[in-house]
Parts: sequence; C-alpha cells; structure tokens
Amino acid sequence: MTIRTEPWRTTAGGERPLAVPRHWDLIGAPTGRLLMDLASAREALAAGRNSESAQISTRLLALLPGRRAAAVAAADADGTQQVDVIHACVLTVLGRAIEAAEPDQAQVRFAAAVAIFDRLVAGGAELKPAELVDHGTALARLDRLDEAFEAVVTALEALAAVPVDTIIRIVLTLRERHDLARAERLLQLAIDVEEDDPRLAQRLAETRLLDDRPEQAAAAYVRAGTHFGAGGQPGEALHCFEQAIGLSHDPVDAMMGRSFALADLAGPQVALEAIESVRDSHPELEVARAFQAQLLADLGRVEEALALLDSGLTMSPVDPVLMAARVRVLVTTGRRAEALDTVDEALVAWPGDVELRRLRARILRQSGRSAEALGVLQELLAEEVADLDDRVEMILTMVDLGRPVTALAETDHALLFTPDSADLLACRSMILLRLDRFRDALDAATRAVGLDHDHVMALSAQAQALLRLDRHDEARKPLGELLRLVPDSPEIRHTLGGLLLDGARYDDAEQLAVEGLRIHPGEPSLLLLQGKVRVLVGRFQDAVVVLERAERGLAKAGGPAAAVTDVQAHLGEALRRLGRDREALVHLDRALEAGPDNAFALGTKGQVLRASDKVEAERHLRRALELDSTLNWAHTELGELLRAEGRLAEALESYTAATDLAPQDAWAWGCRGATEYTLTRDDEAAASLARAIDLNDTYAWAWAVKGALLMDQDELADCLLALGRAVQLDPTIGWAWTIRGWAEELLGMREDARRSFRSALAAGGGGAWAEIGMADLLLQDGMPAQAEQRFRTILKAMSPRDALELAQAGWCHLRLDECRQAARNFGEALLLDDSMHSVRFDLALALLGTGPVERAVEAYEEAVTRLREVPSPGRRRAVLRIAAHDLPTVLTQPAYRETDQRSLTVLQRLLQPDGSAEPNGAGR
Amino acid sequence: MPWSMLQGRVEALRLNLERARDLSVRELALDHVPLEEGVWDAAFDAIRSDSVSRLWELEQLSTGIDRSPHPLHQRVAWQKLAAIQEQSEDIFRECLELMGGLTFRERDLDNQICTFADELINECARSVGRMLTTIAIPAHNGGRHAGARHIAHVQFPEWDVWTLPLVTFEYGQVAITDRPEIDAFARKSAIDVHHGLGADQDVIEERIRALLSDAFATYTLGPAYACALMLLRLDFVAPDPDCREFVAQRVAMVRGILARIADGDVADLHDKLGKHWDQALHLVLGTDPGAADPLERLALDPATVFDTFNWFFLPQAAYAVDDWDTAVQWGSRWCKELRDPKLSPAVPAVAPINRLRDALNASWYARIHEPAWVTEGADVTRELCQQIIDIRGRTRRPPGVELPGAIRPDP
Repeated sequence: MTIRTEPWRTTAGGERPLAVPRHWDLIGAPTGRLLMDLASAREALAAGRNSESAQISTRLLALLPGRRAAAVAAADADGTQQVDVIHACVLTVLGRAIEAAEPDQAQVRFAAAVAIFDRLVAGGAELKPAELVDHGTALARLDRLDEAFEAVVTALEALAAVPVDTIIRIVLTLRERHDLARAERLLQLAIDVEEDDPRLAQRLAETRLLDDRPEQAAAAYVRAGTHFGAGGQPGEALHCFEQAIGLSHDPVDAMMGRSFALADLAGPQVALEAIESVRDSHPELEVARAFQAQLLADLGRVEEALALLDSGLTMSPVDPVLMAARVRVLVTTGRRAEALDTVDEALVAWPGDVELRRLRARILRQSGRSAEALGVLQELLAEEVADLDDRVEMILTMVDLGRPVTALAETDHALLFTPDSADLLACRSMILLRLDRFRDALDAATRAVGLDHDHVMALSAQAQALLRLDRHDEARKPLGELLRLVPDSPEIRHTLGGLLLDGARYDDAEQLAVEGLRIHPGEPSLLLLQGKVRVLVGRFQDAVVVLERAERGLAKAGGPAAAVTDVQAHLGEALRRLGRDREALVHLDRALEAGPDNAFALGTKGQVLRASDKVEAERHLRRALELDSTLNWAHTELGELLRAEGRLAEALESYTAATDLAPQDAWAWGCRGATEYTLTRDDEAAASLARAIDLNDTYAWAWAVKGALLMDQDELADCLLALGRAVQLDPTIGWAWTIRGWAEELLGMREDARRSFRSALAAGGGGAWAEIGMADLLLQDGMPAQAEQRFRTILKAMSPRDALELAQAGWCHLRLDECRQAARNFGEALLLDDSMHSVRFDLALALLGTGPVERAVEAYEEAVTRLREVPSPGRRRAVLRIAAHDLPTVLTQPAYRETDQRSLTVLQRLLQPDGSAEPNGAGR
Repeated sequence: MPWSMLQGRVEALRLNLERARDLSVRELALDHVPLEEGVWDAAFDAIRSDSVSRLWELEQLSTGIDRSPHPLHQRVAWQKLAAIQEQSEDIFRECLELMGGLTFRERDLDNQICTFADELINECARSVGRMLTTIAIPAHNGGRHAGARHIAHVQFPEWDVWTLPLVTFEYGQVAITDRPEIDAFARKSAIDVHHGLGADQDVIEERIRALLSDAFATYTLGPAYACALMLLRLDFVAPDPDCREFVAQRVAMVRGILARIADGDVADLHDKLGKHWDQALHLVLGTDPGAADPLERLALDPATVFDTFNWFFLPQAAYAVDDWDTAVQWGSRWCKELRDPKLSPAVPAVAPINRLRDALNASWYARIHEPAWVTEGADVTRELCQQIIDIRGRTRRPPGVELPGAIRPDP
C-alpha cells in the first residue's frame, strides 16, 4: 500500500495534520475576510463611493457560491448559514450601490436578498443588527413596509445606524397611510442614533406639522436648521428657520438661527439687520449681543462692537459669552495681547469654560506661544471636551513646534474616528509635505478637497504637493480656487503667477499682479511677478522700474533672502537685456550674496560674463546647471560659449540638452543646427534648422545658416531662396549676403553677385570675403588694375591669424599672381585646419601657378583623394564645383598662361562632378 | 666540455634575441606619451627585423654545429657566433635605448622637453606633406639608424629649449628618404662626388645625407637651427681632421641655406652668427687648419639644395621672411624687457598661426643680442611653446557663421 504524504504537512518529527481553521474554504481565505470585505463595501457606500462599493460587492458575490459549496460539503450548517447571511447582505449593498444607475438591476438584487433573508428567518436564524438593517432596507425597496418597519426598528433599538433614505422611504409611506405615530417613533429612534442628520429632524418637523403640533414642529425645524447650518448648508438652514418662525409664537431660537444663516448667505450687513430685530425683541439675549458685535467687527466697526460688548459686560461683568465675543473681536483686529488679557480675566471667573480656554489656546498660538497653546489644548482633550477643531488646532500647534511626526500620529489617530474630515485630511497633507512625502500629501489633499471643494488649507496643500511633484500645470487649478477663496493673498498670487509664466500666459500673470497690487500697493512679491512678466515679454525698461520698486520695498521691510535674491536676479537680467552689463553684475552679485546657490542668478551672471571673462562665464553657467539642470537657456548659453571656443562636441551636448528640455525653443534648435553644420553633420543640421524655422519662420539667422548648409551641399537654387529669406528678414546679416554672392557668382549671375557683395559690405558684416568677391568680379570683368588695387587694400588691412584668414590672404595673393606666397598661405591654412577641402584645391591651383605642373597635378590628385573622405556627396559636389569654376577663372593670369592643354585636360577630368571624387574613384 | 659550452652560448643568445623580437609597447603601459601606432611600428620594426635575421643566422649556426653531415669546425663556429653576438649587441642597445627613453618620458623625467620635440617634428612633418612623424626620446648619443627608424634623440643632459632645434636634423633624415625626388637627389649627389673623389660611396652618401639634413633643418626651422648647431653642438676643435672638416662642411651648408633665406634681419643674424663662428675658430685654432680631410672637396652647393627643396617641398615648409618678422618682434620685445630693470620678459600673445619654430627663433634672436638670456629665456620660451601648442587647432569656425545675439527665450 502506498501512503501518499503531503510534504508541507510533515515535520521533522513525522507526519502531523495541521490544525485547519473552522471556516477555512477551498480557496484558503477565512470567512472573517469576507466580513471585512463586506464592511469595506458598506463603508464605501456610506462615503458615497458607489462604484467602489459595487466593485467590492461584485467580487464578493463571485466568491460566495464556492464557499457555500465548501461549507455544505463539510456539512457545516453554521458556516452555510453565515455564508447565506453574507450573501444577502452583499446583494443589498450592491443593490444600493447601483440603484441610481441601474434601478431595475438593483430591484433584482434586493429581491434576491430578501429571498435569502426570508429563508434564513423562516429557518430560525437570528439576524444581527447590521444584518437587520440590510434586511429592512431590502424590504423597504420592495415596498414590504410593515416588515421593513419591524426590521429597522429592531435594528435602531440595537443602536445600529440605518441608511437615512431607508428611514425616509418608510416614514413617507407611513405618512401616506396617516400612521403618524409610527412615523414619529421611527424618526425619533433614528435621531437618537444619527442625531446630526438634519434630514431626519426636518421629516420629524413635517410629521409633527401633519399631526397639527406646530410648536413641536417648530422645535424640530430649529434643530434641523441648526444641523443644516453646521453642516455648511445655510440655504437649507434658512428655510428651516423661516418655517419655524412661521409656526412658533416666540421663535427666538429660529430668529437667531436665521441671522446666522443670513450671515453665511447674504453677508454681515443683512445678518446685522436680522440680529438687531432679534435684540429688539429680546434685549437680554447675550448670545445675540455677542453675534451682533461680531458682525459689527466683520463690517470694520470694531469700536462699536467693543462698545456693545462692554455695555453688556457692565451689566454682566463676567458673562462668558460676552467675554468670548470680546476676545474674538480683539483677535479679529489683531489686538492679541488685549485679547489674551480679556480671556485670562474671564477664566478667573470661569476657569472651566471650554470656549474661553479654546480661545486662549488660539491666541497663544497666534502669539507664537505654541508650547503653552499645546498645553491648553491637551487639557481639553484629556477632559474629553475638545471638538474636532480643537484637535486640528492641536495638530497644527505640534507642527508649529517642529514635531511633524507626532502631529502625523495624532492626525492619523483622529482620522480613525472621523475618516471623512476635510480638516484632518488637510492637516495630514500639510504634515506630509513637511516630511517630503509629496505623493502621500497629494493623496490626502485631494481627498480633503473632494470632501470640501473650498477648503483653503487642503487646496493649498494640494497645490504645494503638485508643485513639489513638478506637476505645475495641474497645480494651477487648486491655486486658482485658492485665489477665488482668498483673493487678497499676495503669496497665492505670486505662486499662481509663476505657474502662469511657466505656461507662457504672460497677460494672465500680469493681470494677476495688477489686481493684487490694487489690493496691496507696493507689495514686493507682486511687483516681482510683474517684473518677471515684463522681462519675459521684452519690456526691459518697464521691468527695471517695477523691480527697483520691489527692491526698495524689500529693503524697507527686510524681506526674506529668497525674495531679495529673486528680485536682484531679475533686475540683473533686465539690465543685461538692456545692455547695461556693469549694473547687471552689481545686482547679480547682490542676488548671489543673498542666495549663493540661486541657479537663475548664476546662469544670468554667466551670460553677462561671456563678454568679458569666458572662463568665469563657463564656471557660472556650469554651476547653475549643476543646481538646476532644467534651465534650458543656460544650456543654450553654455553651448554658445563652447561653440565660440570651437569646443563643438561639448557645445552640441549643451544644445541637445536645451532642445530636450524645451522642444519649442527655436533659438536652441537654431544654435544646435549651426553646430551640427559646423561639425558637418549635415542631415542632423538640416533637421534642426528646419525645426527652428518651423517654430519661428521669421528666424533670420536660422534661414541664413540653412542657406550656408545648402551652399555646401551644392543646392544652389535652394540656397539662394533660403538666403533671400534670411536677408529679407534681417538685411544686416552680412555673411548671408556674402554667401549669396558666391552662390550667384557660381551660377554666373555676376551682377546679382556684385549687388550681394555690396550689400554685405553695406551691412558691415561681410568681412574680407565680400571684399574679395568684389575684387574678383573686377578681375573677371577685365579690370585688372582696379582689381589689384582692391586686393592690395585687402591684404594691407589683413593680418592673418587663423586658417580662414590665411585662406583669404592666399586667395588675394593668387589673384595678384603671387602664387608662391599664395601656396604658402594655403599650406599654412591647411596646417591649422586639415579639413578645409576647398583650400586644398586652392593650394593645388597656386602650385599650378608656381610650377612644375607635375607637382600641381599631384596636389590636385591628393585633394581629390582627400575629398573622397567626405561622406556627403553634396559637399563633394560643391567643392568640386568651386574648384572647377576657379581653374578656368585664373587661366587668364600671367602665371598660368604657360599651362599646357594636356595638363588642363587632366585636371578638368579630375574635377568632374561625381567622377574622381567618388569614394570608389570611379572616375580615375 | 667545449662543445656544449658553444651550444650553451648559442642558446643564451637565441633567448635574448627572441626577447628583443617579442618586445611590445604594451609592456610599457604608456599613459602619458602619445605614441602613434605607425610611429612605434616604424621605430621598432627594424629592431624586430634585425632580431629575426640574427635568429635565422643563429639557427643556421646551430644546424652547422650539431645537425649537419659536415659539422663546422669548432673555431669557425666560435667565430660565427662572435659575429652574430656583435651584431646583436646593437639590437640590444637600441631596444634598451628605446624602451628606456619612453619610460623616461612616461615618468616626465625629461621635464616635457620631448613633448616639445615631438610637436616640433610634427609641425615639420605636416608642413612638408603627410609624412610619418618621429618619436623623440632622451639619449646620450643618437643611434646609428635613428633617423631611418623614426626616432629622434634629445641629447642628455641638454634638456632645454636651446638644443631643441637639433631634433629637426634627425627628422630631416626621414624627410629626405621619404620624398623620392630628394632621396634620388641625395643618391645622385653621392654618386657624383664618388666619381670625383673615389672614396667609399657609402661613407660619402652618409655625409651627403647628413649635410642635406642640416640643410633641411635650416630650411624648415630657420636661424634657430643654425644657432643651436653652431653655437652649442659642433665641435670645431675635434682632434680628428676628418671630423673637423665635416664640421666645416656642415657650417658651410647651414650658412649657405641661411643666406638664401637671408633678407633684412635674417641677413644681419647670419652675419653675426658667422662672425661668432669665425672668431671662435680663429682663437682656438689660430691659422692652423690642421691636416687635410680626404673628403675636403665634398662640395654640395647650398643654393642647389635650397632650390631643390623649394621645388619638391610644399611652400609652407620653408622658413620665410614673414616668420622671421615674428621672431624679431617677440625677440626684440624680450631684449627691451631684459634691459629695463622694471620689466620682466613676458610671454607674447599667440595666434593659431604661430608655430614652435617662431618661439625658438625669437628666443635665439634674443640670446644672440642679449647673451644673459639663458635660464630665464629658456623658461619663458617653454611657456610660449606650451601656449602655442594649447591654442593650435582650438578654434575652427565655418566661414561667415557668427553667433546669434545672446537673447532669450527666442530670437
């Protein structure tokens, strides 16, 4: 016999069956897990997260048949019954979750649930309160109201919370049947359990009114109105209070409530009129006096408010309500010391008064005495008289005291009891921000905002978290909301303005600053925002004006170092753009003194230094990029610096970083294209320049570089078009005119070429090449004397220092028939830059003028051989075209007159396009 | 056992030659000496090839000793071994010199003078065409085949800028051989002289090539070479009249080339240099020119040599008046600064167009006019050389494409 053993059930000591939990199912999860999931589904439903609840329920429903089958197979009657109960409850929860979207499907679920419940009850099963609630709910949905009533009442008597809509559904049916007694009983029971839900009190009031008991109805309306008001529904509250006023003989509470509601709905002035009418009829009401004083203070009539309270205090010197009101008014006006004296005085008379102690704690915190404030709040908590606001205050006080971890623990503890408190969630978010847990902070803030769209702290935390997560676009929304809620906050305006600037919404940002400055004239942060906008839109002089105002404002107020740095850095930038480099440096140095690691200031200083000290400029730019690698303009600037130094590979790296960061930056693409062109990476250069022109088709320099590239690619017609566009956009780009002149000369358009060279010289940027072009045309036109004079003038003005200038000098000597000197210049140019293929042909041409012809032919052959190394066919064609053009052009010169035809034929064959210079040497 | 002793010697030599043959630059792990592969091959291939030849001869000898049906006589075998051994000593010396020199450079014991020498040779090589350059190593005396093997020697202990021009002489031997027309000219000149003198043609050709190398060095480097050679190197009181005459011929060649370059200040320097030389010669030797050199009439016309060079080397190879202008400008400024106690000689501003030969000529110009310009001059010249190397090739700009204005965010 083979005994099958299961290795996971054995131990070293031998085979031993493991203890299996009683409700262990086939899949391996205990029933407790099902109950937990059911609780989660109920919780989601209670929080209004219906789809989440439906998802959980659906998942549970899929698991239940298997589990039931397992229980049946194990002959586990209790287990089977428990699964059935869970099944019925899940069906009810699911029905409620989908009720709004799929009412028919919901009815099916309720019917199925009731069927199971009925079977269980008939089988003698005793349902627990929560199960009774589900049973009653399902029955109510099927209009089996008597049974539903019984089930729900039993549940309420066991203090189980019943969904308010279930209660209301039963109550409405009972009212239709004129069974007002049972309706009132049900509502009273429900209010005992869910005392804060104003809808129950409202239905109670209506029921009592039907029962013709107006005074009691009015009391219920007042209760409903109070809860509506406390729950942030002043409109509903006002309706209830007005109902109560209409029903009661002495509706003082309702009138008070109406005043409160009006304060929220219509502002302090309307509320003041309402409360004054209350006080007219009930002058003894100190609560009304206190509220009136508060409204006066809100309207800026502080002294009247204090006089009103003082007159009340004359009659009742230690009335805690009046004293608390006095304290609030004083706090509103910033008179904290006086407020603290008042509250301390009141506490002598009323040492245990919670409101006074609460006020004391807040004043202490506002006065920077957070440790004392925390002590007071902890006492309130220990005495179990603290409310949620006190708890929030205590948490914020802990944060003030630099104890964010303790504050977080306290917040999480509080959230266990009130998971849907927007205040607590906002607190949690703010604390998490302090702890650099930005993603968690964002989650908490988003939940808080979901619960209360106008929660300032939550919106602020959400915005900050998004900013710290570099999700700037998304941060704009909460900041916009904040601005709506707190329109006079300069900080919010400044932050939002910064985000608008990031999004290139300059007009909106300026508008924001202007509006803010109307509220706070001279506010440095708003002036800074305005200055930044003006720098970005190119209004540099205007920028200097506002930034200097900001600078003065900060100096006067002793503003924070970060603000000083920002203002000074932007002043530096504005002055740099005005060409006032020396002044710019002064401000940039000040910026760096206040904030040595400010990347913007470092980068801008690097830009300024480029003109005077390249080493320092590079150091500053590199440091700026170390600190903030996202400064695309600094990458471009560094690229330009490196390109000017001939460090092309490094320059290209910088430009690539810039274009990666800012793909819409035409300037960076243009510089990148120019560098790629210089590195003879023609395809890449063409793509980059096309991108630059695509982004900004008035970018003259990019058009000009494109023209140069096309010239080098032997695309002369397109070259003329590109250069034409360049000089049309900016006629001062002299070298573009010069290249255009060459292209025209090569195409035989001598008159156009002459005009182009002349324009180049007029533009002042044509350099020696334009002069040489003009002199060359004179020689071609048969005016050797004038040409010689011109060439001599060029040489006289020239002191060749690099390969390019040597090549220019070489060409002048060649055209002056000084071929040996020309050859020497070309040779020296090649020593400095071996990649100048055209110059190698010039050298060969010069050697042809010095003899022997064999050496010249050898030099031409070498030039052609080296040209084969050039991968671009276009570039090879262009060089050959120029060489082929030059050879017959110089033949009229004395030095070349003896060149024999046979040699010329050899050379002409060498210079055939797509022949000898092809890499495979097809033409040779 | 005399027979086995011979075998033992053969075996020992074989092992040594194999070691020389298998020598690799990788063993040196050079990090700081920029050694082109082609240069190493050119420098070492001859050593390797000689080693292989000697090994082959050794193998023949070994066969002759114990595997031939007619074994060699013992005395003959010993004589053959001695001959191979003697030839092998040259190989071992060259190996040691090359490896030692490179190691010396790697450790920077030469104070970077070989780096300058490399650069000077490189400049020269590029100016005459695309020829393989030569690696400079410190040594006491140049090897016999140094030039042909692309090795130039910086003489120990003259490790300063004053003798630096002399490395061009060794590169000259390479350049002359590499340019077929000039190589042919050297050979033809040797044949012509041989016909006239009847001396050993190899000796004559060796001298002709040395004189051409002097001409080449003067042609490409200008007065700096002439000064270094005549004032610091040539031994005009050599006891051997043969040598003395050769010295005179070298001086004549150098002065002849200088005279062709001569124009303005170069002529002035040429005269000054000649005067120094003649005076020294007169003071030391009096009127006794010593015994006659059998090769005294070895005549090579500097003018012909100059024209030949002009014809076959590219124009930028030649030292020219423009170059001398730069030397005079820098050199006179140093002289002025030396004469003024308030000033100290400074490195002038350099441009990419400047070459090391400009620095060396300027320095020699200053030294000829201000003999105190030795130690300080060497330091300033070194600094100037370094700046020239640094600036070389740093900037390359495409014609016309200037930078855009420093503007942002968009042009």
